[in-house]
Amino acid sequence: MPAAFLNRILTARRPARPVALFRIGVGLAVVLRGVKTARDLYLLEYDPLVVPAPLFEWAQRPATLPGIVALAGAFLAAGAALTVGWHARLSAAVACAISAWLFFVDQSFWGHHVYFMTLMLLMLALADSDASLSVRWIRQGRPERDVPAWPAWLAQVQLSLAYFFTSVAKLNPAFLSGDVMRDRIVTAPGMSAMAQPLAIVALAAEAFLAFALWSRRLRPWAFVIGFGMHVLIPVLLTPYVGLVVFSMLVFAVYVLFLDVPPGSRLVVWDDACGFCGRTVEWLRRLDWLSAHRFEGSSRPSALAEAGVTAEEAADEVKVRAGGRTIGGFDGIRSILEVTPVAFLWAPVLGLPPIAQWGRAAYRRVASRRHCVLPPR
Amino acid sequence: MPLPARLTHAASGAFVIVYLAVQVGYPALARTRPGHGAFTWHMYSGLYDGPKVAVAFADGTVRDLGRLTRRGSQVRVLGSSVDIERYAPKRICGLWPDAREVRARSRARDVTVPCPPRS
Repeated sequence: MPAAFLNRILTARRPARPVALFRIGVGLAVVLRGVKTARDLYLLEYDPLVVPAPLFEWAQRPATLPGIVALAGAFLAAGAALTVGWHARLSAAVACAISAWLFFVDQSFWGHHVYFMTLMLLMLALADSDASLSVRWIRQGRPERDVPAWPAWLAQVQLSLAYFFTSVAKLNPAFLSGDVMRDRIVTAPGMSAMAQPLAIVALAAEAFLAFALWSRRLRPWAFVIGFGMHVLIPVLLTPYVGLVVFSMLVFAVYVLFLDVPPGSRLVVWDDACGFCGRTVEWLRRLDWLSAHRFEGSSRPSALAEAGVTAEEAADEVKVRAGGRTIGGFDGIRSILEVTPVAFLWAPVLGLPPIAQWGRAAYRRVASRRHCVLPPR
Repeated sequence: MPLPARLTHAASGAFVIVYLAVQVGYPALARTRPGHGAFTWHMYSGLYDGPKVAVAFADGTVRDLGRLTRRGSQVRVLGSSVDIERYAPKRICGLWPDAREVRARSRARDVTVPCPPRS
């Protein structure tokens, strides 16, 4: 790895908020996985129909109920602490250590989602992930900070590596022929013919995701495809907590790819319109990454920066981002595409016929809005 | 850069290099060595699907247990990475005193593990 590139990675900083959202997503996944871990520890000890797979003499699983409760309880507590950002590094380290320990205890605790979760916990143990949206952040008066970027960058790289190697692994006759799909998903009669096309689509999707998340142009579509894939898989396959945990972890990493500097986008709205003000208030609430500055059209500097006239800004909301200005429904879509609650699906709003319907609906609402200022 | 910061910087750099070397190198190497799927990425690729298991009894009957990872399976494993050929026969033979052998059938191979004789 060239030294200059490595040095740039190590010295780069990024806003704390996306890293905090990543931390919260992983924390919630740990809590969910913790419930399954508790259950699995119990079943391995007390259910004679469950096959234990112990690995080493020196790595014994807890053999008593209090022991199981203690270990699972510690894991769950670490996940909860990580979620709220209470001693996040320590919580992540504890959860990572327990998860790693269980790898030595029993093969039942191996699995892609557990391995991925353990690696994400390792990154969080190294990251300053509670610099925002945490107990510490609240106590310190909610400052907005930058944090070292490299642990989050490694988490993003790890996700891409998982997609890449999985897509390479799928280049085998059993998968490409559709046999795996036929066995796992396409179990309804008459759907056997769909198995092979589905297999090719799945392979292409994972190969696409390995690289597209790093492309600013392709990223929105990577989010949509990834969202679709990771929602569909737990639905189509036998419902399994591991798949849900993996999806939660993936979405948490996706937030890290939302690389939008705070205040880098300008939204100009008609501040003489009460309806518009209420809409902007909602958009502010969704703007968890503080990517937008919301400026009224009565401010000449805002109009100048957006490159629009007051009449144009009164006609529809304007969003200035990436050197260009878009408005109306497309502007709203552009705002949603960088909000954590909507970024996974908002690009779909730009597809026909949704885009056409959305623009028509926007025009209808805009022409009929009640432009009454709220009483002072 | 003060010494503690330089040490932190160097340690971080070493970690990044080692981490990436392991996360790229090990899965790449594992692709060339069949059977080394642990801690690589191959979700639902079909490369390491668990076998279907059946148990043959002394009276000649055969009971099909299917994939032990499936919920509802009479005997089950809790993770798809469990080495069923290694661990399942002992538990299955222990559950049924008149079981004679355990058969594990997968795409790659068929394995038969005899149950230990009852004393």
